[in-house]
Amino acid sequence: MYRKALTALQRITLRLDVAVNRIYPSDWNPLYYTGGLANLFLFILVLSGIFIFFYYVPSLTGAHASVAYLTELVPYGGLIRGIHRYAADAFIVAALLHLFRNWFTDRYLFSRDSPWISGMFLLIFGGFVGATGYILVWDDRALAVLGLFDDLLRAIPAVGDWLAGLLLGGRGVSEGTLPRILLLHVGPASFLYVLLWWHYVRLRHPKVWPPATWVLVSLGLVTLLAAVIPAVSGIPAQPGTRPETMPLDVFFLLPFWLAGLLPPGLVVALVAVTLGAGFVIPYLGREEPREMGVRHAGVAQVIDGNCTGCELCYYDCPYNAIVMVPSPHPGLSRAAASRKLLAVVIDSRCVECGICIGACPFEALELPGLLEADVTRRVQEAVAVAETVRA
Amino acid sequence: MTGEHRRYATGILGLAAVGVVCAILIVVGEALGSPDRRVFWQLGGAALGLLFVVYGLILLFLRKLGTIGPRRAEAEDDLRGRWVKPVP
Repeated sequence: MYRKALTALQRITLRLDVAVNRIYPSDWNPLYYTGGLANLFLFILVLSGIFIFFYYVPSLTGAHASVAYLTELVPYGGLIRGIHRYAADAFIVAALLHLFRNWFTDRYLFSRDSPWISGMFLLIFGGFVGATGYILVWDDRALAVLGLFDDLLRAIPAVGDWLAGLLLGGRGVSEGTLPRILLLHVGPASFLYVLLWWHYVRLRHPKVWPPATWVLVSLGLVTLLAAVIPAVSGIPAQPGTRPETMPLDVFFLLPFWLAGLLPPGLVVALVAVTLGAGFVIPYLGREEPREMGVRHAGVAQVIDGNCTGCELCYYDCPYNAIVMVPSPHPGLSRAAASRKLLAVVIDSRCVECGICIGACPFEALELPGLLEADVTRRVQEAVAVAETVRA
Repeated sequence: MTGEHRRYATGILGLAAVGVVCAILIVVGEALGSPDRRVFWQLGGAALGLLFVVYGLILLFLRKLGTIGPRRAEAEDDLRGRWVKPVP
């Protein structure tokens, strides 16, 4: 059932790709750059955030006033604030599109579980950073979010009270609260780049940046939106009061909005279950090569005598599993006789995909357990799926 | 030049004209904007955003025309890297 649903969603995703490719050149298809777009919006967030940081005063009396000063008196300050606000939404939208696209097209299985897990952390940290950003504005909504954040933290079993005291500076609002929230906003935001390194480290050719046309259009749309619908603050927060209602932001404040409707413990459990499900997706219904009817291929092996040191396998391996080392001796074949380099497979990184075998024109690589007949059958199955999608 | 090419070329000229108008609006926004007249800062900001979108679309149209290639620079970098990258 799960696999059937995923297959149906995969077909829809691929049809969408084909449709968009008819409009844009295929190498500029924006759907291929959802991850790069998320990275772009993160970069915009960092730049605009640094600008805002110079004006922000993290105190109970100064926070709202400093944001108002930035918005109303600093030249283009309101525009930069709006860009920061809308780029945050765009980051989450691009990240979610990236997540669903990779989920539906099976790009999360086997060795790609590492980008998936790091991507889940990126999404969680990104959402958390956005939610704390709402508190920093220090208006009536900020106070409501802070109260619900406190409730949610205290609903965590065993460590909740301690955690709430640590992160919010004691029970209730105090002068220590906003500096802590600022730290919770800037600290995890910086940590996002560590997570990005983890996200990319196992990928050979990650598309980290979209083509220039999409950089300009994305930046332009965010700027246009910030100018046409400026980001505004509510009335200044009055500690000790608790607003009855809170405007909903579906990207960042959904758990907080739910916490206003449901018991905080239930919301914490819901969030934990949802995130837990996200983390186990790569291992859910996972088909091992043996179960797919193909004998275990085995780690790729270099046939020493045939390797010419041309580096084609090194460049084509998507998992960084091949390195080139100085050749200790000449190869046996005529092409390999004067080689300077030798390919070496790092066993722990090889996923037995066979891409290096396709890349090598000198028959210098093999998968010990995979016969040519198996490869032919796999290719025929892939072509049949592609033809079904095209039809 | 085919009809399709002519349409894209006309589109580029039209977008370039919009770009010039945006540039003028940015200057107007900068000249007239002040804390009392924030609307001009907003006007300049909107024009800046539109200018980015226009430049992005011009690039897209140039690509559709075939004037700029499919990530040519990246391909060249890759090719250069292939032969000069030091051995790890």
